[in-house]
Amino acid sequence: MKFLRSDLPVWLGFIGGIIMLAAVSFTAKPLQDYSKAFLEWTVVLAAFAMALGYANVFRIHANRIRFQRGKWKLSYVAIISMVLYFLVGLVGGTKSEAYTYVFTYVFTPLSATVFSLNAFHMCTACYRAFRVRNMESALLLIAGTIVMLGSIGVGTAIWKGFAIWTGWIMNVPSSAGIRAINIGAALGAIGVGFRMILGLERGHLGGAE
Amino acid sequence: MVKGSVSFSLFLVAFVVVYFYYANHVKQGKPFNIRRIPGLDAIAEAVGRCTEMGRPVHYTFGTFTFDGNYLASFDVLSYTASLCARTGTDIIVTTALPEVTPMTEEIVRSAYASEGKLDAFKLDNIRFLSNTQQAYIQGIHGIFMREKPAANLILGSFNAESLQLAEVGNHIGAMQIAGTGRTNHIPFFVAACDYTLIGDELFASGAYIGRQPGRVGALFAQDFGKWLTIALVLVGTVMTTMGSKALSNLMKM
Repeated sequence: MKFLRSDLPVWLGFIGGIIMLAAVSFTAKPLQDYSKAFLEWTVVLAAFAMALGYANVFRIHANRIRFQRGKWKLSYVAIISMVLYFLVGLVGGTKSEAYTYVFTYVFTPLSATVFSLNAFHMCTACYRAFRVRNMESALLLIAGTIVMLGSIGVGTAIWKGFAIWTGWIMNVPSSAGIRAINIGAALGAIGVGFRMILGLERGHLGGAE
Repeated sequence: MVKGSVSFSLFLVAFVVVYFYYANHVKQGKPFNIRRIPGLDAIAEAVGRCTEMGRPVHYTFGTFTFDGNYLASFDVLSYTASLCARTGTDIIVTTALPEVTPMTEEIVRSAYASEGKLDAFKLDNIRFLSNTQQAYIQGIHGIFMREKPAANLILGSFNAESLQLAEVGNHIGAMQIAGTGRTNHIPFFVAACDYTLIGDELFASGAYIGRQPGRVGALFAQDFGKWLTIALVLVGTVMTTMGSKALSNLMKM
Protein backbone atom coordinates (compact mmCIF):
# COMPACT_ATOMS: atom_id res chain seq x y z
CA MET A 1 0.00 0.00 0.00
CA LYS A 2 2.84 2.38 0.91
CA PHE A 3 4.40 1.63 -2.47
CA LEU A 4 1.22 2.66 -4.32
CA ARG A 5 0.53 5.74 -2.18
CA SER A 6 4.02 7.09 -1.82
CA ASP A 7 6.87 5.35 -3.67
CA LEU A 8 5.20 4.84 -7.06
CA PRO A 9 4.08 8.50 -7.45
CA VAL A 10 7.58 9.64 -6.49
CA TRP A 11 9.17 7.37 -9.10
CA LEU A 12 6.67 8.44 -11.76
CA GLY A 13 7.36 12.07 -10.84
CA PHE A 14 11.11 11.46 -11.14
CA ILE A 15 10.87 9.79 -14.56
CA GLY A 16 8.36 12.32 -15.92
CA GLY A 17 10.31 15.26 -14.50
CA ILE A 18 13.64 14.13 -15.94
CA ILE A 19 12.10 13.56 -19.38
CA MET A 20 10.39 16.97 -19.38
CA LEU A 21 13.56 18.68 -18.18
CA ALA A 22 15.73 16.92 -20.75
CA ALA A 23 13.26 17.83 -23.50
CA VAL A 24 13.94 21.52 -22.76
CA SER A 25 17.62 21.09 -23.62
CA PHE A 26 17.87 18.19 -26.06
CA THR A 27 16.29 17.79 -29.47
CA ALA A 28 16.29 13.94 -29.58
CA LYS A 29 13.01 12.80 -31.14
CA PRO A 30 12.09 10.17 -28.51
CA LEU A 31 12.52 12.76 -25.75
CA GLN A 32 10.33 15.29 -27.56
CA ASP A 33 7.70 12.59 -28.27
CA TYR A 34 7.59 11.42 -24.65
CA SER A 35 7.36 14.98 -23.30
CA LYS A 36 4.49 15.68 -25.70
CA ALA A 37 2.76 12.48 -24.59
CA PHE A 38 3.15 13.47 -20.92
CA LEU A 39 1.53 16.83 -21.61
CA GLU A 40 -1.38 15.08 -23.34
CA TRP A 41 -1.75 12.69 -20.39
CA THR A 42 -2.16 15.61 -17.99
CA VAL A 43 -5.24 16.71 -19.96
CA VAL A 44 -6.71 13.19 -19.81
CA LEU A 45 -5.95 12.83 -16.10
CA ALA A 46 -7.49 16.23 -15.36
CA ALA A 47 -10.66 15.09 -17.16
CA PHE A 48 -10.82 12.00 -14.95
CA ALA A 49 -10.22 14.14 -11.89
CA MET A 50 -13.31 16.15 -12.80
CA ALA A 51 -15.43 13.10 -11.94
CA LEU A 52 -13.75 13.03 -8.51
CA GLY A 53 -14.55 16.73 -8.12
CA TYR A 54 -18.21 16.25 -8.86
CA ALA A 55 -18.35 13.23 -6.56
CA ASN A 56 -16.98 15.52 -3.83
CA VAL A 57 -19.70 18.14 -4.46
CA PHE A 58 -22.37 15.45 -4.48
CA ARG A 59 -21.12 13.84 -1.26
CA ILE A 60 -20.94 17.14 0.64
CA HIS A 61 -24.46 18.19 -0.32
CA ALA A 62 -25.88 14.70 0.22
CA ASN A 63 -24.39 14.64 3.73
CA ARG A 64 -25.75 18.10 4.41
CA ILE A 65 -29.25 16.89 3.51
CA ARG A 66 -28.81 13.63 5.41
CA PHE A 67 -27.76 15.31 8.65
CA GLN A 68 -29.86 18.46 8.00
CA ARG A 69 -26.86 20.73 8.58
CA GLY A 70 -27.01 24.51 8.03
CA LYS A 71 -29.19 25.61 5.12
CA TRP A 72 -29.58 22.01 3.97
CA LYS A 73 -32.64 22.65 1.81
CA LEU A 74 -30.45 24.67 -0.58
CA SER A 75 -28.39 21.54 -1.12
CA TYR A 76 -31.42 20.05 -2.91
CA VAL A 77 -31.20 22.95 -5.37
CA ALA A 78 -27.48 22.35 -5.90
CA ILE A 79 -27.84 18.60 -6.47
CA ILE A 80 -30.94 18.85 -8.70
CA SER A 81 -29.37 21.61 -10.84
CA MET A 82 -26.12 19.69 -11.19
CA VAL A 83 -27.78 16.39 -12.12
CA LEU A 84 -30.33 17.96 -14.47
CA TYR A 85 -27.77 19.99 -16.39
CA PHE A 86 -25.51 16.96 -16.61
CA LEU A 87 -28.38 14.91 -18.06
CA VAL A 88 -29.32 17.66 -20.52
CA GLY A 89 -25.72 17.67 -21.78
CA LEU A 90 -25.53 13.89 -21.83
CA VAL A 91 -28.81 13.32 -23.69
CA GLY A 92 -28.95 16.29 -26.05
CA GLY A 93 -25.23 17.04 -26.34
CA THR A 94 -23.46 20.28 -25.50
CA LYS A 95 -24.63 21.92 -28.74
CA SER A 96 -28.35 21.26 -28.04
CA GLU A 97 -30.78 24.17 -27.67
CA ALA A 98 -31.68 23.33 -24.05
CA TYR A 99 -28.02 23.12 -23.00
CA THR A 100 -26.98 26.37 -24.71
CA TYR A 101 -30.14 28.14 -23.44
CA VAL A 102 -29.24 27.48 -19.80
CA PHE A 103 -25.63 28.43 -20.48
CA THR A 104 -26.49 31.66 -22.32
CA TYR A 105 -29.45 32.91 -20.29
CA VAL A 106 -28.72 31.59 -16.79
CA PHE A 107 -25.03 30.89 -16.34
CA THR A 108 -23.57 33.78 -18.38
CA PRO A 109 -25.66 36.59 -16.77
CA LEU A 110 -24.98 35.18 -13.29
CA SER A 111 -21.24 35.05 -14.02
CA ALA A 112 -21.24 38.58 -15.42
CA THR A 113 -23.08 39.82 -12.33
CA VAL A 114 -20.55 38.27 -9.99
CA PHE A 115 -17.65 39.55 -12.08
CA SER A 116 -19.06 43.08 -12.09
CA LEU A 117 -18.77 43.14 -8.30
CA ASN A 118 -15.04 43.52 -8.90
CA ALA A 119 -15.57 47.22 -9.63
CA PHE A 120 -16.99 47.82 -6.14
CA HIS A 121 -14.39 45.64 -4.51
CA MET A 122 -11.67 47.65 -6.24
CA CYS A 123 -13.16 50.91 -4.91
CA THR A 124 -13.26 49.70 -1.30
CA ALA A 125 -9.79 48.13 -1.55
CA CYS A 126 -8.36 51.33 -3.09
CA TYR A 127 -10.02 53.43 -0.38
CA ARG A 128 -8.25 51.45 2.33
CA ALA A 129 -4.94 51.17 0.46
CA PHE A 130 -4.81 54.89 -0.38
CA ARG A 131 -5.20 56.13 3.19
CA VAL A 132 -1.95 57.88 4.02
CA ARG A 133 -0.48 56.19 7.08
CA ASN A 134 3.22 56.21 6.25
CA MET A 135 5.74 57.06 3.53
CA GLU A 136 4.95 53.94 1.47
CA SER A 137 1.21 54.52 1.40
CA ALA A 138 1.79 58.19 0.50
CA LEU A 139 3.90 57.11 -2.48
CA LEU A 140 1.20 54.58 -3.43
CA LEU A 141 -1.43 57.31 -3.32
CA ILE A 142 0.61 59.68 -5.49
CA ALA A 143 1.55 56.99 -8.03
CA GLY A 144 -2.00 55.60 -8.11
CA THR A 145 -3.54 59.04 -8.65
CA ILE A 146 -1.13 59.85 -11.50
CA VAL A 147 -1.72 56.49 -13.21
CA MET A 148 -5.50 56.79 -12.86
CA LEU A 149 -5.55 60.32 -14.25
CA GLY A 150 -3.09 59.43 -17.00
CA SER A 151 -5.22 56.50 -18.11
CA ILE A 152 -8.45 58.44 -18.65
CA GLY A 153 -9.31 61.21 -21.08
CA VAL A 154 -10.20 63.76 -18.39
CA GLY A 155 -6.78 63.45 -16.78
CA THR A 156 -4.99 64.06 -20.07
CA ALA A 157 -7.30 67.02 -20.80
CA ILE A 158 -6.33 68.58 -17.46
CA TRP A 159 -2.59 68.11 -18.00
CA LYS A 160 -0.79 66.18 -20.76
CA GLY A 161 1.99 65.37 -18.33
CA PHE A 162 -0.24 62.81 -16.59
CA ALA A 163 -0.02 60.49 -19.61
CA ILE A 164 3.78 60.90 -19.81
CA TRP A 165 4.26 60.22 -16.09
CA THR A 166 1.87 57.27 -16.27
CA GLY A 167 3.99 55.76 -19.04
CA TRP A 168 7.15 56.30 -16.99
CA ILE A 169 5.68 54.80 -13.81
CA MET A 170 4.34 51.75 -15.67
CA ASN A 171 7.43 51.16 -17.80
CA VAL A 172 10.24 51.90 -15.37
CA PRO A 173 9.63 51.36 -11.60
CA SER A 174 6.56 49.15 -12.01
CA SER A 175 8.14 46.93 -14.69
CA ALA A 176 11.37 46.66 -12.70
CA GLY A 177 9.47 45.55 -9.60
CA ILE A 178 7.33 43.06 -11.52
CA ARG A 179 10.36 41.54 -13.25
CA ALA A 180 12.23 41.22 -9.95
CA ILE A 181 9.27 39.40 -8.38
CA ASN A 182 8.91 37.21 -11.46
CA ILE A 183 12.58 36.22 -11.35
CA GLY A 184 12.28 35.36 -7.65
CA ALA A 185 9.09 33.35 -8.24
CA ALA A 186 10.64 31.53 -11.21
CA LEU A 187 13.65 30.54 -9.10
CA GLY A 188 11.28 29.40 -6.36
CA ALA A 189 9.37 27.31 -8.88
CA ILE A 190 12.65 25.74 -10.07
CA GLY A 191 13.47 24.90 -6.45
CA VAL A 192 10.07 23.28 -5.82
CA GLY A 193 10.21 21.42 -9.15
CA PHE A 194 13.70 20.16 -8.42
CA ARG A 195 12.65 18.88 -4.99
CA MET A 196 9.66 17.15 -6.57
CA ILE A 197 11.76 15.45 -9.24
CA LEU A 198 14.12 14.14 -6.57
CA GLY A 199 11.18 13.00 -4.45
CA LEU A 200 12.18 15.29 -1.60
CA GLU A 201 8.91 17.22 -1.84
CA ARG A 202 6.07 14.97 -0.78
CA GLY A 203 3.60 17.58 0.38
CA HIS A 204 1.17 16.67 -2.44
CA LEU A 205 1.29 13.04 -1.29
CA GLY A 206 0.38 14.04 2.23
CA GLY A 207 3.87 13.85 3.69
CA ALA A 208 6.81 16.10 4.41
CA GLU A 209 10.40 15.64 3.16
CA MET B 1 20.87 20.77 -28.10
CA VAL B 2 17.90 23.13 -28.27
CA LYS B 3 19.03 26.66 -29.18
CA GLY B 4 19.08 28.90 -26.13
CA SER B 5 19.16 26.03 -23.63
CA VAL B 6 22.93 25.86 -22.97
CA SER B 7 22.94 28.79 -20.55
CA PHE B 8 19.84 27.41 -18.81
CA SER B 9 21.45 23.97 -18.46
CA LEU B 10 24.61 25.53 -17.01
CA PHE B 11 22.50 27.49 -14.56
CA LEU B 12 20.65 24.33 -13.57
CA VAL B 13 23.92 22.49 -12.91
CA ALA B 14 25.12 25.35 -10.70
CA PHE B 15 21.74 25.37 -8.93
CA VAL B 16 22.02 21.63 -8.19
CA VAL B 17 25.58 21.99 -6.87
CA VAL B 18 24.58 24.82 -4.51
CA TYR B 19 21.48 22.89 -3.47
CA PHE B 20 23.43 19.79 -2.43
CA TYR B 21 26.16 21.84 -0.76
CA TYR B 22 23.68 23.65 1.51
CA ALA B 23 21.46 20.59 2.07
CA ASN B 24 24.59 18.82 3.33
CA HIS B 25 25.55 21.89 5.36
CA VAL B 26 22.19 21.79 7.19
CA LYS B 27 22.29 18.00 7.56
CA GLN B 28 25.60 18.31 9.43
CA GLY B 29 23.87 20.57 11.93
CA LYS B 30 25.76 23.72 10.92
CA PRO B 31 23.96 27.00 11.69
CA PHE B 32 22.01 28.89 9.04
CA ASN B 33 19.83 31.94 9.02
CA ILE B 34 16.50 32.53 7.27
CA ARG B 35 15.08 36.04 7.49
CA ARG B 36 11.71 36.44 9.18
CA ILE B 37 8.60 36.20 7.02
CA PRO B 38 5.84 37.95 9.02
CA GLY B 39 3.05 36.39 6.92
CA LEU B 40 4.12 32.89 7.90
CA ASP B 41 4.66 33.84 11.54
CA ALA B 42 1.11 35.19 11.57
CA ILE B 43 -0.46 31.82 10.69
CA ALA B 44 -0.23 30.61 14.29
CA GLU B 45 -1.86 33.86 15.41
CA ALA B 46 -4.64 33.43 12.82
CA VAL B 47 -5.37 29.86 13.92
CA GLY B 48 -5.27 30.98 17.59
CA ARG B 49 -7.78 33.69 16.76
CA CYS B 50 -10.12 31.10 15.24
CA THR B 51 -9.71 28.85 18.29
CA GLU B 52 -10.60 31.70 20.66
CA MET B 53 -13.62 32.74 18.59
CA GLY B 54 -14.78 29.16 17.96
CA ARG B 55 -14.81 29.74 14.21
CA PRO B 56 -13.15 27.83 11.37
CA VAL B 57 -10.09 28.65 9.29
CA HIS B 58 -10.69 28.96 5.55
CA TYR B 59 -7.94 28.00 3.10
CA THR B 60 -8.01 28.19 -0.69
CA PHE B 61 -5.67 28.00 -3.69
CA GLY B 62 -7.30 29.96 -6.55
CA THR B 63 -8.43 28.98 -10.03
CA PHE B 64 -5.25 29.27 -12.10
CA THR B 65 -3.39 26.23 -13.50
CA PHE B 66 -1.89 23.68 -11.10
CA ASP B 67 1.65 25.05 -10.86
CA GLY B 68 4.53 25.69 -8.46
CA ASN B 69 2.42 28.11 -6.43
CA TYR B 70 0.10 25.23 -5.51
CA LEU B 71 2.99 22.97 -4.55
CA ALA B 72 4.47 25.69 -2.33
CA SER B 73 1.04 26.33 -0.82
CA PHE B 74 0.69 22.65 0.10
CA ASP B 75 3.47 23.10 2.69
CA VAL B 76 1.59 25.98 4.28
CA LEU B 77 -1.67 23.99 4.21
CA SER B 78 0.00 21.05 5.94
CA TYR B 79 1.38 23.38 8.64
CA THR B 80 -1.96 25.17 9.09
CA ALA B 81 -3.89 21.89 9.27
CA SER B 82 -1.44 20.63 11.93
CA LEU B 83 -2.04 23.76 14.00
CA CYS B 84 -5.80 23.34 13.57
CA ALA B 85 -5.63 19.68 14.62
CA ARG B 86 -3.56 20.60 17.68
CA THR B 87 -5.94 23.33 18.79
CA GLY B 88 -9.20 21.59 17.84
CA THR B 89 -10.10 24.22 15.24
CA ASP B 90 -11.98 23.36 12.07
CA ILE B 91 -10.28 24.01 8.75
CA ILE B 92 -12.32 24.40 5.56
CA VAL B 93 -10.32 23.95 2.37
CA THR B 94 -11.93 24.96 -0.92
CA THR B 95 -10.58 24.03 -4.33
CA ALA B 96 -11.33 24.97 -7.92
CA LEU B 97 -9.23 22.31 -9.62
CA PRO B 98 -10.62 18.79 -9.29
CA GLU B 99 -7.15 17.20 -9.55
CA VAL B 100 -6.05 19.18 -6.48
CA THR B 101 -8.95 17.98 -4.30
CA PRO B 102 -7.65 14.43 -3.55
CA MET B 103 -4.18 15.84 -2.79
CA THR B 104 -5.72 18.37 -0.44
CA GLU B 105 -7.68 15.64 1.36
CA GLU B 106 -4.49 13.64 1.78
CA ILE B 107 -2.50 16.61 3.10
CA VAL B 108 -5.10 17.58 5.71
CA ARG B 109 -5.72 13.96 6.72
CA SER B 110 -1.97 13.37 7.16
CA ALA B 111 -1.64 16.54 9.22
CA TYR B 112 -4.43 15.38 11.55
CA ALA B 113 -2.94 11.88 11.71
CA SER B 114 0.52 13.24 12.58
CA GLU B 115 -1.05 15.14 15.49
CA GLY B 116 -2.85 11.99 16.61
CA LYS B 117 -6.27 13.56 15.93
CA LEU B 118 -7.44 11.58 12.92
CA ASP B 119 -10.90 11.19 14.43
CA ALA B 120 -11.29 15.00 14.35
CA PHE B 121 -10.63 15.17 10.60
CA LYS B 122 -13.78 16.15 8.66
CA LEU B 123 -13.76 15.02 5.05
CA ASP B 124 -16.75 17.27 4.30
CA ASN B 125 -14.58 20.31 5.04
CA ILE B 126 -12.46 19.61 1.95
CA ARG B 127 -14.71 21.07 -0.72
CA PHE B 128 -14.35 21.15 -4.47
CA LEU B 129 -16.61 24.05 -5.43
CA SER B 130 -16.36 24.47 -9.18
CA ASN B 131 -13.73 24.81 -11.87
CA THR B 132 -15.66 27.84 -13.15
CA GLN B 133 -14.27 31.02 -11.68
CA GLN B 134 -17.48 32.84 -10.77
CA ALA B 135 -19.15 29.76 -9.28
CA TYR B 136 -16.01 29.15 -7.23
CA ILE B 137 -16.06 32.74 -5.96
CA GLN B 138 -19.74 32.54 -5.04
CA GLY B 139 -19.19 29.21 -3.30
CA ILE B 140 -16.52 30.80 -1.11
CA HIS B 141 -18.62 33.91 -0.48
CA GLY B 142 -21.41 31.59 0.69
CA ILE B 143 -19.04 29.86 3.10
CA PHE B 144 -17.87 33.28 4.35
CA MET B 145 -21.43 34.40 5.03
CA ARG B 146 -22.74 31.14 6.52
CA GLU B 147 -19.75 29.80 8.45
CA LYS B 148 -17.93 33.08 9.18
CA PRO B 149 -14.29 31.91 9.24
CA ALA B 150 -12.14 34.06 11.52
CA ALA B 151 -9.05 33.51 9.35
CA ASN B 152 -8.83 33.44 5.59
CA LEU B 153 -5.67 32.00 4.02
CA ILE B 154 -5.48 32.53 0.28
CA LEU B 155 -2.23 31.11 -1.01
CA GLY B 156 -1.74 29.69 -4.47
CA SER B 157 -2.27 30.65 -8.05
CA PHE B 158 -4.98 33.21 -8.75
CA ASN B 159 -6.93 34.83 -11.53
CA ALA B 160 -9.39 37.71 -11.10
CA GLU B 161 -10.91 36.05 -8.02
CA SER B 162 -8.03 37.34 -5.88
CA LEU B 163 -9.64 40.67 -5.02
CA GLN B 164 -13.15 39.24 -4.66
CA LEU B 165 -11.96 36.69 -2.11
CA ALA B 166 -9.82 39.15 -0.20
CA GLU B 167 -12.41 41.93 -0.09
CA VAL B 168 -15.27 39.76 1.11
CA GLY B 169 -12.90 38.13 3.60
CA ASN B 170 -12.12 41.61 4.88
CA HIS B 171 -15.85 42.41 5.00
CA ILE B 172 -16.54 39.52 7.40
CA GLY B 173 -13.63 40.63 9.59
CA ALA B 174 -11.40 37.61 8.97
CA MET B 175 -7.67 37.89 9.56
CA GLN B 176 -6.24 37.44 6.07
CA ILE B 177 -2.95 36.01 4.88
CA ALA B 178 -2.39 35.80 1.15
CA GLY B 179 0.45 34.78 -1.11
CA THR B 180 1.16 34.19 -4.76
CA GLY B 181 3.91 34.37 -7.33
CA ARG B 182 1.52 35.82 -9.90
CA THR B 183 2.46 39.48 -10.03
CA ASN B 184 -0.86 40.72 -11.43
CA HIS B 185 -2.63 39.77 -8.21
CA ILE B 186 -0.09 40.75 -5.57
CA PRO B 187 -1.32 44.41 -5.47
CA PHE B 188 -4.87 43.25 -4.71
CA PHE B 189 -3.65 41.15 -1.82
CA VAL B 190 -1.43 43.92 -0.49
CA ALA B 191 -4.41 46.29 -0.55
CA ALA B 192 -6.94 43.93 1.00
CA CYS B 193 -5.09 41.50 3.29
CA ASP B 194 -3.30 41.76 6.64
CA TYR B 195 -0.22 39.90 5.41
CA THR B 196 0.99 39.06 1.91
CA LEU B 197 3.67 36.61 0.86
CA ILE B 198 5.16 38.26 -2.20
CA GLY B 199 6.58 36.12 -5.00
CA ASP B 200 9.33 33.84 -3.77
CA GLU B 201 8.30 34.22 -0.11
CA LEU B 202 5.58 31.68 -0.86
CA PHE B 203 8.17 29.31 -2.32
CA ALA B 204 10.35 29.78 0.76
CA SER B 205 7.51 28.76 3.07
CA GLY B 206 8.41 25.04 3.07
CA ALA B 207 11.96 25.77 4.25
CA TYR B 208 10.79 28.45 6.69
CA ILE B 209 8.20 26.20 8.35
CA GLY B 210 9.91 22.83 8.15
CA ARG B 211 13.67 23.65 8.17
CA GLN B 212 14.43 20.23 6.65
CA PRO B 213 17.84 20.01 4.87
CA GLY B 214 16.34 19.46 1.38
CA ARG B 215 14.07 22.46 1.64
CA VAL B 216 16.66 24.76 3.17
CA GLY B 217 19.13 23.66 0.49
CA ALA B 218 16.65 24.68 -2.20
CA LEU B 219 16.13 28.04 -0.50
CA PHE B 220 19.85 28.77 -0.53
CA ALA B 221 20.02 27.65 -4.17
CA GLN B 222 17.22 30.15 -4.93
CA ASP B 223 19.23 32.90 -3.22
CA PHE B 224 22.28 31.91 -5.24
CA GLY B 225 20.13 32.22 -8.38
CA LYS B 226 19.07 35.70 -7.35
CA TRP B 227 22.63 36.88 -6.73
CA LEU B 228 23.70 35.37 -10.05
CA THR B 229 20.85 37.17 -11.82
CA ILE B 230 21.76 40.49 -10.18
CA ALA B 231 25.40 40.00 -11.20
CA LEU B 232 24.41 39.15 -14.78
CA VAL B 233 22.14 42.20 -15.00
CA LEU B 234 24.89 44.51 -13.74
CA VAL B 235 27.67 43.02 -15.88
CA GLY B 236 25.34 42.84 -18.89
CA THR B 237 24.35 46.50 -18.48
CA VAL B 238 27.98 47.62 -18.32
CA MET B 239 29.03 45.42 -21.27
CA THR B 240 26.12 46.48 -23.47
CA THR B 241 26.77 50.14 -22.63
CA MET B 242 30.37 49.62 -23.74
CA GLY B 243 29.16 48.06 -27.00
CA SER B 244 29.98 44.43 -26.24
CA LYS B 245 27.39 41.75 -27.02
CA ALA B 246 29.46 38.87 -25.62
CA LEU B 247 27.23 38.25 -22.59
CA SER B 248 23.93 38.51 -24.44
CA ASN B 249 25.26 36.13 -27.12
CA LEU B 250 26.36 33.72 -24.38
CA MET B 251 22.87 33.83 -22.83
CA LYS B 252 21.31 33.04 -26.20
CA MET B 253 23.45 29.90 -26.69
